[in-house]
Amino acid sequence: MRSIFIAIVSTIVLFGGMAWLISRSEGWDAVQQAFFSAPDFRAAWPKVVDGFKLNVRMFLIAEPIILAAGLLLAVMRLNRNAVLFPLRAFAIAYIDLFRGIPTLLIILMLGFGMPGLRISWLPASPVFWGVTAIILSSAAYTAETFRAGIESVHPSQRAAARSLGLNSAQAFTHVVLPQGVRAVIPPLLSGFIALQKETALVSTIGPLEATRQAGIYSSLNFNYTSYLAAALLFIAITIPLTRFTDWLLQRSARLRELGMTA
Amino acid sequence: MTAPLIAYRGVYKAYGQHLVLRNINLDIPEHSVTCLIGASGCGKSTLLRCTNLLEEIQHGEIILSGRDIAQAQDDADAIRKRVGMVFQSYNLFPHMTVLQNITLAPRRVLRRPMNECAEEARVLLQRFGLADKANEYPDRLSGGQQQRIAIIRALAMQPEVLLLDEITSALDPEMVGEVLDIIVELKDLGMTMIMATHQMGFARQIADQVVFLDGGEILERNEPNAFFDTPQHDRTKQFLHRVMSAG
Repeated sequence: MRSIFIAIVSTIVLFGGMAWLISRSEGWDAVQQAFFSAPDFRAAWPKVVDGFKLNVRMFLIAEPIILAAGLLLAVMRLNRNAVLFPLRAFAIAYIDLFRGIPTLLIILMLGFGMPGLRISWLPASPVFWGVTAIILSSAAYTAETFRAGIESVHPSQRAAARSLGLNSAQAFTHVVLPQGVRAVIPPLLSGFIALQKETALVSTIGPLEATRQAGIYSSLNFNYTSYLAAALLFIAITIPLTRFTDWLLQRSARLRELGMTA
Repeated sequence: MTAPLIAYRGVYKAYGQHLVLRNINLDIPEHSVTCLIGASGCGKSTLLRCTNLLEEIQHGEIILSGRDIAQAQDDADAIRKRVGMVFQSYNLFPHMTVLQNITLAPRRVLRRPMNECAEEARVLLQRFGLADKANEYPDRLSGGQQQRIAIIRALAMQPEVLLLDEITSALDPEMVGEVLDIIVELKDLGMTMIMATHQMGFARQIADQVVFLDGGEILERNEPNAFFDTPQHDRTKQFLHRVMSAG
């Protein structure tokens, strides 16, 4: 009880003090006008919400493809078959390359470069190339997450499966893979949260998503409140998902503990 | 005299420069129980893992029903179907229920229908007093229950021989009995078993032959009473003295 009381008091003192300091500062009135203007918020809101629907569409399309491609890359990288070495080499090169380049650069290169090729059957839409760039980049990270999960499965599990007569592929699909994927569900969700924010980078090549709409509003009206509106929309999705991930992590830690003591 | 079910002929196994099995020659008659004893690192587990082709041997023959399996790496999966193995650490699949653990190999390897496999699994669970655990996950079970289910999982493939690798070493003492009871029952049913163990009392009770391994070699082999009452080799005497006085 006492500690709760102290926590409340110290929180009020700290944040109250900060608010007081900021509101007393010389430029506060101007900042309040530029960033926290209620009329501008209302005026910008519909367009920004409209743009945000595009962000949602982009990450909903990208995520399943990223998961599938990441898993495929991880399996290619982990295979030890001599005949399939080219696949392994490709996966290593791919992951090194796309983890090494900033996502923004990949978006710019694809978004401006591919339509510039003027190949008639290639789509010219910047949304298409923006989403493609995000997929290429995130798939490399996701592949490494899957690989960590698969490698965390104890070799004795594989030995047990093989001893029952399962061949190498069966032991992998039925025993190793399901355990490996389960182990990395929380980090995969973290990646999903990061992906939602990455969709804002696509604004650099033109699509009218939330950040871009907010930018248009601010440059037409000399007011930045529209950015606050965009930020609130991102937060409305990312914070609940973050809490959900925390809950999953806690639950899996608790289950592991149960498993140890049983 | 009928041919043995398994015959080891001049088996050598090395990890790099380190020889872990030297010139192993041993016959395993059908329906017999063989206990492998010896200090940790003497090669008991390695011999079992080689028999199940989880490890390759460098030299010699392991003959199963008249056929050398040691060089049959391309056909290893077919051999493993016939040779069951139970591990010290149970190695149940934690993401599957007990029933799924038991039916996985019959379904995927023998390609038999699920309802048939499940029916047989339930019969086995019933016989070993675990019928109510069919839909539990392994982490809800005690070590003794998990190990009994690991044995049932191996039995579900109807193996010709069962390899038991220190199956009671990871268990709390009060759970050892329930696992060993299954082994006694299997012996009565005529199952051929090779068992690496530290349980000397149990080895004397159940074994048809006891094999003492030291430094990767078979130093002594005898029927159990003679082996424990009148060990021939000095190393055997020392080893038995140490484990007996340790209780």
